[in-house]
Amino acid sequence: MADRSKKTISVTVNGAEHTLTIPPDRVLLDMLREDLGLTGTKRGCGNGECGACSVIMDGILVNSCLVPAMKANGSEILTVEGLGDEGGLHPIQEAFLEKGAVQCGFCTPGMLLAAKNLLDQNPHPSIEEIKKAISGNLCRCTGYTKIIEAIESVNRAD
Amino acid sequence: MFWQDYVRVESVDEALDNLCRLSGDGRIIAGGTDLILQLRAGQKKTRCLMDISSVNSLCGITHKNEKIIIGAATTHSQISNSSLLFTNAPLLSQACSQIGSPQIRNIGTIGGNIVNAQPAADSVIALLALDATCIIVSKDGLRDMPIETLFSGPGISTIDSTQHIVTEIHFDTVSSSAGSAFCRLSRRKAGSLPILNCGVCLHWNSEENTITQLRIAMGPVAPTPMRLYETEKAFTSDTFSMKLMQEVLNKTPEEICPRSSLRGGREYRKEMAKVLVKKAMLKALEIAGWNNGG
Repeated sequence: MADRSKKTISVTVNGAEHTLTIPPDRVLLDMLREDLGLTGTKRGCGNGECGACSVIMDGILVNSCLVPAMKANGSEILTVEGLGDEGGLHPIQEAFLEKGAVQCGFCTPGMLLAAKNLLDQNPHPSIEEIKKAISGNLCRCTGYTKIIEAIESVNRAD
Repeated sequence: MFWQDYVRVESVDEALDNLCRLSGDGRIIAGGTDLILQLRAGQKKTRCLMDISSVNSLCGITHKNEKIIIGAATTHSQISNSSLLFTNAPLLSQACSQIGSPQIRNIGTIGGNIVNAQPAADSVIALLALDATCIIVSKDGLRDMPIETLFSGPGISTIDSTQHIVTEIHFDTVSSSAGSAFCRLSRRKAGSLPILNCGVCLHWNSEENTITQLRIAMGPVAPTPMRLYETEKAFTSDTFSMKLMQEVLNKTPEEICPRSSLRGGREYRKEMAKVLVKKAMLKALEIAGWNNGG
């Protein structure tokens, strides 16, 4: 028998449509990780401070740990799994590899999506604009320099 | 379970009907960036969350007859990116651009910032300096409340989100002859709550060298966001000079009652209040046409 306390929602994640029946107090982060098995999105602080759980929801960057899954009903979500495909990495991912912008890697999925969100709106950002765009994403390893260099290099022909 | 049901409503009437039917068991949610944490921590409880963030009439910024009207579910990002507000209420754009992080600003709303009633709420400090009023609806009708009357303690608003909905925030545009400023002291540039924040709106009378219509708001220097009425009165009671500035600022610490916290001690905040008010006053005066030494 169906659990009447659960709710059915539909979301498009990385281009694929999903219909899910979830507890009403599920947050988007748990929906992605537990219900869809998309564990690329990381749980850091769980309180909206660190940005490790950042995803793009209908074109805006959000902390998925603070967004009720019910709020995401009907929306389009992009996670790190949707950046590259089997054919190859996304240019932002290539740039992170090229510049050595990844150390432990825990902040990387959120950082990549913050970068994607910035570059979608502003293909040639200044250093200051990059710093502002990733100001909600904490990295405890790199000191940010390599990350900023990587984002800056994405749309520059060299 | 932190909440048993979650409904995304399409109109204010639908939200009010639901709140009424649930008689205390329902609660309004907009961005939820504060509320979700409070519900998880057990600081607030509810059976059903009523999400108003996609109600069209609650989103957006309009300019009508020298008045600005902001829908309560407008996000901090929308406010800080609005060219209308950049021109007509720059201190509010500045305040909202410094809240939390980009992710928080993309979801968090101005109405939520008001209802959450933190003494350091950046948007509220700007709105106090703008002398804003809020439209609050409930099943008993509509009330037009000065923003200052909406706070009764730290984190405690007179707006009861199990019964009331803030729908709009109104204020007069900052005219081109006026000056305004928002200044903030914090440990880091992002993801950091303010040690102090200050909003100022004023008019400058260059013929009489006096400040007129001054409003100074400050946080967190009392249990609620606060207007510095004594400081305002002292600034406008005499011809303005840097000597008057110093005399007034020396008394400002007596007017405030900050607490010591991880972010800063009480005595430090009292001293730095002088610095921050001065900074905001000078910035606003300059915009309003005051000429230092001229």
